[in-house]
Amino acid sequence: MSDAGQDIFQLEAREHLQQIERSLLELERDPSQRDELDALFRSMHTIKGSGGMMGYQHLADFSHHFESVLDKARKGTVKFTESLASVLLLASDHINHLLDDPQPSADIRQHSDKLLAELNRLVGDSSHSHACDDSDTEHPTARLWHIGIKPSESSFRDGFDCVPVLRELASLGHLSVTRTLTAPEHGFDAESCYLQFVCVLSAETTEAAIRDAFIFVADDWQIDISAAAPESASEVAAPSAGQSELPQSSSTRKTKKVEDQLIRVPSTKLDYLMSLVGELVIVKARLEQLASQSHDEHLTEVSEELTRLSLELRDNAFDIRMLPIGSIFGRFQRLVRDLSKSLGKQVEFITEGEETELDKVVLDKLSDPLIHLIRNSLDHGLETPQQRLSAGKPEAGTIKLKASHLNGQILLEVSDDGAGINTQRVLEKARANGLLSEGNELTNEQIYGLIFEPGFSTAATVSDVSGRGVGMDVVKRSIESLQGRLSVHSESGQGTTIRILLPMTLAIIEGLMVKVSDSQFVIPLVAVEECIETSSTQDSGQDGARLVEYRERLTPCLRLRDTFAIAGARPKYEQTIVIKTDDKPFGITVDEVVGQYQTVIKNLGPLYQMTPGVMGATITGDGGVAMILDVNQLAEDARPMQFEA
Amino acid sequence: MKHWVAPLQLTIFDVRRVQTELEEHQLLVADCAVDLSTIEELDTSGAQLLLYWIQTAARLQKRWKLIGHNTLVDSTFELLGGYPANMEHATHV
Repeated sequence: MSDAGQDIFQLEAREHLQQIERSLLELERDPSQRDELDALFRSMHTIKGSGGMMGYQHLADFSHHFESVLDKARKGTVKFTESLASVLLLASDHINHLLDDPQPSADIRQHSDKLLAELNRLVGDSSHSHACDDSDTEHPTARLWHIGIKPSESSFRDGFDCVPVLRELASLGHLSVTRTLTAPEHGFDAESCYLQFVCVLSAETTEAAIRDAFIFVADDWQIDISAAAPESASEVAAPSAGQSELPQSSSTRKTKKVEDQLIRVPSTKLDYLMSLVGELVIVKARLEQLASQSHDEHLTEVSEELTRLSLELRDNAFDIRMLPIGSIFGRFQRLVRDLSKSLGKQVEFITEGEETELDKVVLDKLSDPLIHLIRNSLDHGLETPQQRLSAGKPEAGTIKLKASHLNGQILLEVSDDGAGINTQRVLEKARANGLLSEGNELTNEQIYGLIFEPGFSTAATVSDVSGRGVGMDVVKRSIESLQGRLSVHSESGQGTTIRILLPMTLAIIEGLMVKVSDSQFVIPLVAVEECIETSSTQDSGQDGARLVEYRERLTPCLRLRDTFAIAGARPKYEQTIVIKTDDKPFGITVDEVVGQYQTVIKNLGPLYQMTPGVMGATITGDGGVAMILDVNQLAEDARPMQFEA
Repeated sequence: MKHWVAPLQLTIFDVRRVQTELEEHQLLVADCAVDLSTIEELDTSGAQLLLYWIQTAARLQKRWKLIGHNTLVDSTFELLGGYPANMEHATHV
C-alpha cells in the first residue's frame, strides 16, 4: 500500500476517532441517544474496514471487538454505562496509537489484549445484569417485509454501492428484488445512480435489523420499510416500470443533502497561495503608485480594476484559511472529563460560539494555551464538591469556554464559577518569591497580572494537573505571540474569567504606518490607544527610554530613532503613539504618522529573526521595506530601564 | 456482428470511460455482442451502465446482446433484480 494511501487513511481515521470521542462523551451523559450510538458504530465500522484494507490488521481486529460491543449496545443487549464509556474512550485512544504503525510492537499488542479483556469483562457483566426491558425489545417474527429503496443520485460518487446493501438484506432471509431504471434518454451520466428497488423480504427478523443494512446510507437514501399483513403476502405486486417516486413514510429519515462539495488540500498549498496573494497585493500597490504618477487614464483604469480583483482574491484566499474554533473545542470535553475525575470534582463544561472562525495558523497555536487555562480553572478555580456545598453553591461547578466577535477581533473567554482569585494569597506568594517588595500598593488588576509572572504558583500542593508555576506565563507569551491580549477578572467566591482578544488572522495586519527619517515602521493597530504630539526637546535616557506626559500622568516612552540608531535630525514636534500592553500605557515616539495601513506580513530571514522589537516586515507600495514592530517586546525590554531611571 | 469484450473492471472508476467506448459502438453498429465473461469486478454503477446500454438498444431498435456471463456477473445481477428482460441470454460467444 502506498504511503500516500496510508497517510489519507490515518488522517480520516483520526477524524473518525474525534467523532467517536464526541459520541462517547455524549452517550456517557445520556445513553438513550440512538443517533449518537449509530454515528459511533458507523465511524468504528469505517475504521475497521479501511484499516484492514490498508494493511493495519491488528487495528482492524481490535476495532472489530470495539464494533461488536457497540453492536450489542445498539441491540440493547448491553447497557451503555459510565464504566463502559471509560473503557471505550481508552480503546479509542489506543486505536489512535495503533494508527502510527501497521505492525505494532509486542508491548502495544499486550495493551490491546488488556483493554479487550476489560471490555469483555464489562460487556459480560452488563449483558447479564442489565438485560433490557422486554417492552423496549422488538421480537423477531416471521413475516413479509416490503422495502422500497431509492438511492441518492450521488450514491456511486459518494462511495455507496447498492450490491452490499442488498446482499446484507438477502442474508436476513429470502429476498426478491424488482428494479427500475429511470435514466434520461439524453445526458445519461454513468456515475449517477438512476436505479430504484422494491424488495420483498421473507424473514424472521425485526425492522431494526433491516434498518441496520442501511446504516451507512440512511441519511442519503430514501428507505421505506413496512411489514405486510400475513394474509396479503400473496398480493405482493411488482412496481410498474414507470414508477419513479417511492412513497414517503414517516419513518423514512429525511435526506440530509450536503450541498457543498469538499476537497482536502494540504495546508502548505494554502500557505503558498497566501504568499502569492501577498506578492500580488504588493505589486498592485506599486502599480497604483505608478498609475497615479503617470496620469495615464488607461493605466489608472487597469490599476483600479486590478486593485478590485486582487483585494477580492485576497479576501477569498484568507477566507479559505478560516476554520471554526469548534474544531478545537471538541478535544477539551475529553480533557475536562478526565481531569475532573482525577481531581474528584464535578464539572459541567459549556462551550459557546463554536462556529466563530479563526485563521488556521492562530487556531493551531491556541490549543495549548486554552488547555492550560482550562486545567487551571479546574485545579485552582473550582472548589471540591464539599467546599461548594458548604459555600451554598451547587455540587457541580461550571467551566465555560466562549468565543465571539468583538470589534473585528475574536474574544475568547474561559470562565468558572469557583472561588475566585485570592488576592491576599497572590500578594503573599509574590512577596515570598521576590516578585514584589513590601509596601507596594497594587490594584486588583495588577495583582491578577502577577499570576502570569514566570515561576509564580499559589497551589499548596503541586499536582499532575497544574501548580508548577510554569503554565500561566507560557499562556501569556503564547497569546502575545499571536498578537493577542489577555486580561483577568475575578470576584471572590463568584469565579474567574480570563478574556483573550485575538486578531482573526496573522497573515494580514491592520497597522499604523509611521516614519523615522526615511525608515518606515508598522505598529499593530490593535495595540494603539492614541497618538499625541510631543516636543522633541526632551532627550531620551538610556536606549531611547524617557517619560512623556499622557493624561496627566508620566508615561514611559521609547524614541524609535534612538532604539534603532537611525541617523538624522529630530523634527521640532514628534508624534508619540500610546500603546497599551499589560493594561499599562507605553509610548513609542516617531517623526511622523503616515496613516492606517493594511498589509501582508512577511517573515524575516534567519539573519534578522532574532532582532529585538521586530516581529516581521512588509513591502510598501513604493517597493520599500517597513518593519512591523513587536510592541509588547519593546515595552517589556524598555520598562526595567525606565524604572531604574 | 460486432464483438466487444468488457473490461476486467467495470466499477465507478471505469464507467465514464466505458460509456464513451460503448457509445462509439452504438453509433456505428446495428448488431453487437458484449462479452461479460472477462469481468472480474462489477459494482452497481457498472451493472447500471450495461442495463442502460440494453435499454437504449431497445429504444433505437438495434440488435445488441450481453453474452458470456460469469458467476460474479450473474450473482450481481441476481441481487440487482435480474438481467433485463429484453436481453439475449447466451452462454457462448
